[in-house]
Amino acid sequence: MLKKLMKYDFVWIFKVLVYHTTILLVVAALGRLISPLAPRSMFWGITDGVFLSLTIAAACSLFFTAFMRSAARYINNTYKDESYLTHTLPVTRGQQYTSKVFSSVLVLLVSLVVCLIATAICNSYKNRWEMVKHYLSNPQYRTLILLFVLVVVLQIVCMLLCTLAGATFGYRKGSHKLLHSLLCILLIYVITQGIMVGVIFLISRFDSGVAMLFTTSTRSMMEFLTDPISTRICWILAAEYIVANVALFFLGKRALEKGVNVD
Amino acid sequence: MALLTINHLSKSFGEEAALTDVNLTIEPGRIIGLLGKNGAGKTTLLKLICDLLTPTDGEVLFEGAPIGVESKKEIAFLPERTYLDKSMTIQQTLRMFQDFYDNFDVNKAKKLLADLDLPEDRQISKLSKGMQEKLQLVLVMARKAKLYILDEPLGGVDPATRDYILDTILRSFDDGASLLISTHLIADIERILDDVIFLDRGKVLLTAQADDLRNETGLSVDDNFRRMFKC
Repeated sequence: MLKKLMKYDFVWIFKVLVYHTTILLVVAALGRLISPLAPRSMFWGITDGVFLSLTIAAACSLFFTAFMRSAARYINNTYKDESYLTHTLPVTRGQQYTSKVFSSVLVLLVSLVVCLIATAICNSYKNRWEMVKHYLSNPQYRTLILLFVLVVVLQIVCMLLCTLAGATFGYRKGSHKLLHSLLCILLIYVITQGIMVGVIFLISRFDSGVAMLFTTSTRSMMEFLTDPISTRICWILAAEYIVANVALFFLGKRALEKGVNVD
Repeated sequence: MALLTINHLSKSFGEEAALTDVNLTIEPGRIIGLLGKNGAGKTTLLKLICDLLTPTDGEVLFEGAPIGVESKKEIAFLPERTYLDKSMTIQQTLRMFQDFYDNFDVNKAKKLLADLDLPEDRQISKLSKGMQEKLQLVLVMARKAKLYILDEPLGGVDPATRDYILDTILRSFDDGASLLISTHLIADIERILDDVIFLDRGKVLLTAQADDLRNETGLSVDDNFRRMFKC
C-alpha cells in the first residue's frame, strides 16, 4: 500500500514541476548557446548575463515549488477536502505520513538532479570543465563540495520535515489551525537548529579545531574553506542533520498517528 | 455481533460540545436514517465513525474492533464534500479506487457511470458540482462494503434525480450490508428506512424502528420529525 500511496503522492507533486524542469533545462541550454558569444559585444555579454540569471531563478523556482507542492499535498490530503478520501483508505496513518515524506524527499532529490544537469549544461564548455576538473581532482575540495551539497539537501529535508510536523501539531488545535501550524513550524525549526548549534558548541569544548568556529573572526572565507577543519565541521553537520531528520520524521508520524481533526 | 457499536462517544471543539455521550448500535442488513436539523451533529458523528475526527471521549467499534485498516476496507463513506483530486480524470479515479479497495467493482462503476452520462475520459475539474457528487456516489456504491455511510447524498441534487439516486443506492448494496444515511430531507428517504435516529444538539433524542414509530404515533417519520423539532 505504501508504494501505491507514494505513486499518487509523487505524481501529484511532480505534475506541475514538469513545466519548471522543462523551462530550467531550456533556459540553461539557451544560456549555453549564448555564452561563447558573450566576448563579442556588450549585447551578447548582457544577454549571457540575463540567461545566467534566468537559469538561477528557474532553479530556485523549481526547488521552491517542489517544497511548496510537498507541503500543500500534505495539508490538502490530510486536513482539507481530499482528507475525506485519504483517511478512509485502508492504510495506516503511519503509512500516509511515510508516503508524504518519502515522495517529497524523492521530488526534492529529482529537483536537485535537474539543477545539477542544468548547471552541467550551462558550464559545458572547455574552460569551465577544466576548472571543475581542477577542483574535483583535489580530494579535499572534492570531499568538501560533496559534503556541502549533502548538508544543503539535508537542511532542505529538515525544513520540509519541520513543516510537516508543525502542520500536524497545528491542525490538532480546534481553531486558528493555520496560525497554530505556522507557529509550530517556526518553533520546531528554531528548536532543531538551536539543538544543532548547541551540539556543535559542545563538541568545540573538546575539539580545538571546531572551537575555531566560535573563537576566530579574522580569517577569510577562502582561508576557512581550504582548512581541513571545514570538512570536519561539514561531517558533523551532516551527521547532526541525519539524526535530526530521523527524529523529526518520527515526531511528525507519531503526532499524526494520535489522530486528526479534518476541517 | 453488532456491525457498529458506539459507546459514550463525545466530541468537543474547544469549549463547544458537538456530540455528548452518544450510544448507538447498528445491526447488519438495516437501513438507518440519521435525522436532525442543521448543526445537530450528524456530520460530526459520521466523521467520528469514519476516523476523520478524534473523539474527545468514548469509542467506535466496527465488528467489535476499533476503527482501523480492516474496518476501512468494509466501510464506504460518501461525504457531503467533493473530495476527489480534480486534476485526475474519471478513468484515473476508477483505477485509484481499484488500487486501494479490493472490493471495488470497476464494471459496476462503469455501468453506473454510463447510466448517469458521466464520460470516463472527462477531467473531474471539468465536471459540475452535481456531477462530481454523482461520481462520488458511484465510487461508493460500486464497493461491496458491509456498511455504507452517506452524508446528505440528496443535498445538492435536483428533485428529479433524487429518486434515481435512491433507487441506485437501493439496487447497489447487498442485503447483508447496512446503510446509514444522514439527511434532513426526510420525506424523500422515508420509504426506504428501517430504523431512525433523531439527533439534536449533539445528543440522541430517539432511536426506533421506522414502522414502530409510525404505528405508535400515527404519523409519518417526517411528521414526527417536524413535531419534535418545531422551532
